[in-house]
Formats: sequence, C-alpha cells, structure tokens
Amino acid sequence: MTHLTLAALDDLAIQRAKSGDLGALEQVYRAYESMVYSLARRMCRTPEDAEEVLQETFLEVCRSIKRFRGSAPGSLTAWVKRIASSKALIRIRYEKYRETEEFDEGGFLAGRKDQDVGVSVDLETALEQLSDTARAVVWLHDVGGYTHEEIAGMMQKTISFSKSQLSRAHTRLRTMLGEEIRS
Amino acid sequence: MKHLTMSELIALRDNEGTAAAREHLSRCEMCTAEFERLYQRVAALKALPEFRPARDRWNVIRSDVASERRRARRWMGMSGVAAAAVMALAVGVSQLANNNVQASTEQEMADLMAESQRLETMLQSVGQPGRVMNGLTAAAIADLEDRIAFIDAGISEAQSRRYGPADVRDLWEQRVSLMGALVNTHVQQVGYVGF
Ligand SMILES: [Zn+2]
Repeated sequence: MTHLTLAALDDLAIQRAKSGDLGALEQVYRAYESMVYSLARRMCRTPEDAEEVLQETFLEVCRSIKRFRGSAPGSLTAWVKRIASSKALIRIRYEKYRETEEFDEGGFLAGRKDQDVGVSVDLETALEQLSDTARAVVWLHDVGGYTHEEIAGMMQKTISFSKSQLSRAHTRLRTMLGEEIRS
Repeated sequence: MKHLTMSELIALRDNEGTAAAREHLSRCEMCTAEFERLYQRVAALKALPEFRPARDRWNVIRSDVASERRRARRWMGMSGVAAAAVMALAVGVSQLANNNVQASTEQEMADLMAESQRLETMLQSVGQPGRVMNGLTAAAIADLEDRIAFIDAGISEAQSRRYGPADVRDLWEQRVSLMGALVNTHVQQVGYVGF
C-alpha cells in the first residue's frame, strides 16, 4: 500500500528534504501521511488524537530528517514509522495522564476499558473495545512487525509486559469476534 | 486434556513455543482451529483499510516549522549564551571549504535550540512542583536535572572558549535528549493508570 506513494520520493527529494527544503519536506509528508495517520488512528482513541500524532510526527520529521542517515530502501519508511509509533504512544500516555487529572483516578476510564460486548462484532469495533495499551501492542507487533523487545523499549516496559498485553488483546478479540471475522 | 493458552498459541506463531506445545498442537484439532483463527485475525488486521486524515495538516505543519525556525534564530540573536554560540560558529566561517557544513550545523543547532525550548515549555506544564512522587522517580528527576545543569555549564564553557560548532551542537543534542527524558519522567510519574 505504501509502495505506490513512495515511488514519488526519489533520492534527490530526500536529499533536498534533509537540507530543510520545505517543498521537499511536503513531498515526504504526502508520501507518508496516510501511513502515519492510519497507524495513529489504529493506536489512538479518536480522530483528533490521530491528527495530533500526524502533526507531531511530521514536525519531528522536519526537525530531524537532516540527521537521518539511512540509505537502504525502505529505511526512511521505517524511520518515519518509528517516530509515528513513538508519538502515538506518548499521546496515549498523555491522554491517560490528562484523564487521571480530570477525572481523579479513573472512574471515567474504568467504564471504558476492555468491555466485552457479548455478541460477535466486526473487527474495527472489536479493536476499539480494547484498552489503549493492548490495542497499541497488537498493532505494533502483529501489523507493524515490531518485536516485543522493541515495543518494550518504546513503552519503557518489560518484554513480558508486551507479551502479556498481546495475549490479552487476542483473547479479547477472539471473544468479541466469535467464530468468524467480519471486517 | 489441557488445551493451549492464547500466550502459548502466540508463542508458537512467533516461533518461540515449547516442544510440548508444538506437540500438542500437532495432535489437537481444537487448538489447531484456534491457531488458524489467530492467523486469520492477524491477516484481517493487516487487511484493514488505510485511513486518510479528514483535513490536510501540511499547512499547519509547515507554518509551525517556519515559525520554529524564525523563533530559533531570534532566540539565538537575543540570548547572551546563544550569541556566544553564534560567535563560536563564526570562527569557522572563514574556512570557505567548510561553508556548507557550517550552514547545516548552524541550522541543526537552531533546530536543537528550538526543540530544547519546546521541551522547557512542556516541562512547565507537566512538572508542577509539590506533586507527590515516589523516591525513585524523584531521584531520577534530580539526576536528570543535574546532568542538564552540567551540560549547560559545558555549553557556556564551549562558547567562551570558542570550541568548534560541531562540539557545541553535540552539547545541544545531549541537552535535548536529557530534556526529553526529563519531560517523559515527569509525565510518567503522574500515576497514570494503564501501562
Ligand atoms: Zn488442544
């Protein structure tokens, strides 16, 4: 899915982006905006949060691309994806922090986490029902291809934490989806 | 018969399962069906459509980047410490061969300073004094603050002795990294649930 858009990003554009050229940086943005936004939408709770992550990711890309040293094909993609994942995790953490402040120890949150809906639902709905952490881990590991070690590093948690969140996510999804997956 | 748990199925899928689990899988229809379902679920996750943002964010990002660059330059112009940094940069400018390197180092440093400023602002919003924190976190924060102070002293020193711009830039890089860790520690210690 990213291959089509990436074809437009040649080495010259990347070099120009590295020199701070805003036109070339826009090309980088266009090449990756859907990838980053989708990842953020899957990991974060709301479209607004995902837009914030999109914006924060590309601000970081614009600031740091000059220090990006990768040359292998796909390394820019991996680099952008890692920034996006880490911004999404920070956003999830920040939202939790804000809610803790606003709702004083999570009376509000408790109602939302990991509800079992009982009947079979579609995959999108099931994903939304997971806790933010479980959803982030299942997305990063099973779709993003990150190892538990990498996820643990990004979340500043242990490998076994990442593993148990993944297992928890799948158990929930399995229950909610029933025998068949309808996406 | 004890069937495989979800963790065991996932471990097998990730080639980390035990021999006993693999053996069970090979002769249990129920677990095999569950294993297949795990694969289907992941395939379905990967096949979910991409989202597109409802609004184009590039204009906002571009104007943020532009104003950060302006701010960084202005800040470099106003701050005494930073003015010395510009002096330090100017030292090498006479070497014409290095002009490009020089300009890019200057830009990098401007960006690092802007980032450092942004983190200072973030820190003000999360690092409110008087918040209850555990001893370990308090110690980690104190340690980071000490290291930042040490880097700041290094920056002044480097500038007064007119070290090369790359050295000053490296110090700013370290400062930004430490500031990032400090902000992160503050955010994390505020007893968020989850994680
Ligand atoms: Zn079995």
